[in-house]
Amino acid sequence: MTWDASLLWQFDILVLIMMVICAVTALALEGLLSSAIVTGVYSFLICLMWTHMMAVDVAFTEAAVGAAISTVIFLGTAQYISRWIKKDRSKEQGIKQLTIVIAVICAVMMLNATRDLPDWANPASPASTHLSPGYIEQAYHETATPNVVTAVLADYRGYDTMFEAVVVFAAALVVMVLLRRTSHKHRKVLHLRPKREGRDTVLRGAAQSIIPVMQIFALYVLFHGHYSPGGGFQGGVIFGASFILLALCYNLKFSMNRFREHLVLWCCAGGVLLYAGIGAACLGLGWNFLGYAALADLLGISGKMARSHGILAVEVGVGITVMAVMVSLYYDLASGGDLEDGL
Amino acid sequence: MNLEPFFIAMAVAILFLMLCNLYRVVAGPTVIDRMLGMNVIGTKTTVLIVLIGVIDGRVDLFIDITLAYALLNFITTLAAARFYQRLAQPVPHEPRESLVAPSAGPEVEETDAPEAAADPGRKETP
Amino acid sequence: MILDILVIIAMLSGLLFFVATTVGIIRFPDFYSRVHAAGKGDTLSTTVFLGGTIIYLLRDFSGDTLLTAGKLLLIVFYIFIASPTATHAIIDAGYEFRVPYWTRSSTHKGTEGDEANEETMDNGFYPEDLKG
Repeated sequence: MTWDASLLWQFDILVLIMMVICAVTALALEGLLSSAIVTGVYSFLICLMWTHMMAVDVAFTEAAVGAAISTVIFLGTAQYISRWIKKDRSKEQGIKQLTIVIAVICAVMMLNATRDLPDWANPASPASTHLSPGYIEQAYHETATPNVVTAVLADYRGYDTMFEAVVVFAAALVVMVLLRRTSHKHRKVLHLRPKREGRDTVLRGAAQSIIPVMQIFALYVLFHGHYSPGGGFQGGVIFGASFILLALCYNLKFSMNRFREHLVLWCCAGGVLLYAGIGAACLGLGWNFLGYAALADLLGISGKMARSHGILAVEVGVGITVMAVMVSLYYDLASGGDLEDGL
Repeated sequence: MNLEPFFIAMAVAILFLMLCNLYRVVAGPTVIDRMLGMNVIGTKTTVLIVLIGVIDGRVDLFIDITLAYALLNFITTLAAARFYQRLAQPVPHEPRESLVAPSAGPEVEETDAPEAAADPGRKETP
Repeated sequence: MILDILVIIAMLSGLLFFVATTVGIIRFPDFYSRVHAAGKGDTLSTTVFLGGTIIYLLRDFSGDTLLTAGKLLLIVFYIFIASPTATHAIIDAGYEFRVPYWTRSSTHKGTEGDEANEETMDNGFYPEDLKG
């Protein structure tokens, strides 16, 4: 069966209607928890839209980060915010209407601008005629990586991915600085509730059978990123999500005994160090920063296999950082910094 | 036998039913009804991704994302349900000043018992 | 030919179960009954539907399609375990939060009962904007 570049218009109309309904509902609902859940549904739907457009790596990342981790982080944050919201809303109606008018004007202007965009999968569009043909034709010959997205992410645009890993690491650090309880802070951020004496047998059984498979699948996604959609970021998120699942099905202490906080911080920093370290090693061997062909003489292989292995190594670095950051964010947000009990 | 129009009809039918499930997400009277709708929409999206793969003839491209999606849908529903369950636990009472943010203005929402505000120095029994 | 008929039957029955699930989620009066509809109907319809997809993939039998069919079988097993567990977690949360039952005597659809019962909940912390 051949694939032709045509979108199924019935599919698109329905998914777009659902996305608009979700977006409007997420803004119109009063409760924070409800808005977080509707935002999660929106993430599911936009992942579906991107899958339909054949942008599978983007859809994978959206499913991993937007649908799961973002919703968990929103839920973890909603525990804190709700007590300090003002109840007197009568003075805000004028501002609300002005905001709606401005938003509608901006939306109309942007929709008008979309008429100038090129058609979907038009081979003469600017995105398809500048750098993309070069990447699509040369990526396999130069880097021995069949997945062009991974080759572009980790080799041709390696600086961007390195700074993404640094940004993710910085996010974990910021949350830790804000929330982690030290001896100077006596204010309790989160009103901790007693641990429930629950019958968690079903959840524990499910977790025991699902988590090992999930971790092996995460490693598969990471290492198979050269050949199939995936890569370091998605594999790291799934691996981190397995620890979040462990903490949800048991309790936070159980998960922390298995992945301690100092090891989490070591992994956060270690992944970025691995990425930047490979770049610095290439610089030290006489090539550009993150020019993986420098490793060819070191490892005794050809230039393009060195680039393929360099891509794999930096993806492992990104995966380690992202996994540790997800776990660290969950530890800090779910427990309010106390690291005692939460969610 | 060409099954492609049949698969397209199936995909559109499932999407239309997902739209009907979205009603429960939007109009669920409690939060937990919305979580239910989210679980169903997530599960059906995995089916739809496989169906898109079947229509385009390249299921092996979409199979990894389907498994990841099913895993993460489970985690999201579980996290939402556990969060909601945590809200059901009673809160131990504490002195008044620990409930007020240091940067909060004078119009802070009163969530605690009103008699605690009358006597801020009184130690409440847990 | 017969495999095609099998695929069509499987997908149509999956769609039928999903129609039953949707009708149940929309029309049932109470949270607990909706969870029955969602948990059971959703899992069964997904399992049958993906089973039909596996049969469709195995029509042309080769190494690649066998691998993909194996992965799809893994997804079916996973959804068979995880979706009822998620349903269990949801209904456990609803039960501990004491979502009120629907009774035949209430003439409204049960939404009135949710509002009326909230004052009787003696949770110490129930902010207004987490009510949904």
